[in-house]
Amino acid sequence: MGALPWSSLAQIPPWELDAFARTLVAVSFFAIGLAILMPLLREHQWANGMGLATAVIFLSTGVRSAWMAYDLFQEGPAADALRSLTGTWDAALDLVTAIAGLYYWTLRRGFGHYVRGAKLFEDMRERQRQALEIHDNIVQGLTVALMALDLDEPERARESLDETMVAAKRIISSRLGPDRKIPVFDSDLRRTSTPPPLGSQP
Amino acid sequence: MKILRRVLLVDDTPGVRTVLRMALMRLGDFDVVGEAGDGETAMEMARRLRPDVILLDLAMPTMGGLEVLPRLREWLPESRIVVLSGFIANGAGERALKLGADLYLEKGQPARHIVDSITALFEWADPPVR
Repeated sequence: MGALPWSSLAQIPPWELDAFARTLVAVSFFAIGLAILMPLLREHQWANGMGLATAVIFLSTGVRSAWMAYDLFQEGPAADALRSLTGTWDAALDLVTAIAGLYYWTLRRGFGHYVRGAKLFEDMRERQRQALEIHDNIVQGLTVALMALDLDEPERARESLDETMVAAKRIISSRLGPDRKIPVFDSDLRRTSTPPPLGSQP
Repeated sequence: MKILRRVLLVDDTPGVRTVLRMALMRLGDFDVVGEAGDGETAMEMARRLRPDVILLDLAMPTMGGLEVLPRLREWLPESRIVVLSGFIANGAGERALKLGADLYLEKGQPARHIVDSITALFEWADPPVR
C-alpha cells in the first residue's frame, strides 16, 4: 500500500518534478522577498543596505526559478536538452529549497510578531532611535556643560549636568525598569564589561 | 574697527545655541544674527539673512542637517558652513564635507578650539578647498 505513491512518483520524469519544485521555490521566495522589501519601502529605509540586499536575493531567486520552470516546458532542441539534463538530484535539491521556503512561511505564521516587518530591520531602527535619544539628551547636555565651564559659567554648567543626569537616569530606567515585560533577576545587573576609568583622563 | 562676521546658529537644543552664542561673541569676532531650532527654519533664515557663517547641527526636527546642507551650499556659495555634531563614528563627518560643509567639528571640544577653527576659515586668501 505504502509503496504505491513512491512507485507512481518514480514514473514521473525528473524534469516534471523539477519544474514543480522550481514553481514552489519561485512562489515562496518571491513572497519572502516581498515580505522583507515592503516594510523597508513603507518606512523609507533606503539606507538599509542589508535589508534591501536580502530582499533582492530572495526576489531574484524567485524570478530565476520561475524562468527555469518556464524553460522546462518550452518546445525545441534547447528545451529538449534542458529536460534531458535535469536529473533526479536536480529535482531533489530544488524540492529541498522549495520545502525550506514553505517552512519559512509556516514559521512566519506561527511567530508573526517576531518577524513582523523583518525583526532584524526593526531592531536596527530601534538602535538608531536609541542612539538619537542619547545624542539629544546626553551629548547635547554634556556639550552645554563643557562649553559653559570653558566660558567660566559654572552655574550654567551645573544646571546642564543636573538635567543630563536626570535624562540619563530616565533612559536607563526605561531600558531596565517598569516597561520591562520579563522579571528582573539579581544577575541581570551584573556587568559584563569593565567600566571606563572615570577621571583618569589627563 | 573690527569686522564682525554674521553667524546663523542652527541647533535644536536651546542650551547649545546659548553657549555657542556666548563663545562666538566673547572669544571671537562674531555677531550671532539668527538662531534656528530645525532644518526648515534654518533654510528660511539663511536665505533671508545671508550670514557669513552657518553653524549647523545634524540631528534636528523637520529636516536633518545633511538634508539642509546641499541647499544652503547652493544658495549661499560664499557662506562658510560649519557642521557641529555629536556623531563621530558613522561617516557623518565625511558625508557633511562631501555635501559642501567647510568644516566638521565634534561637539564636546573646547569653546576656544571651536571659535578659533571657525575664525581660521576666514584667514585663507582663497575659499577653502572642499
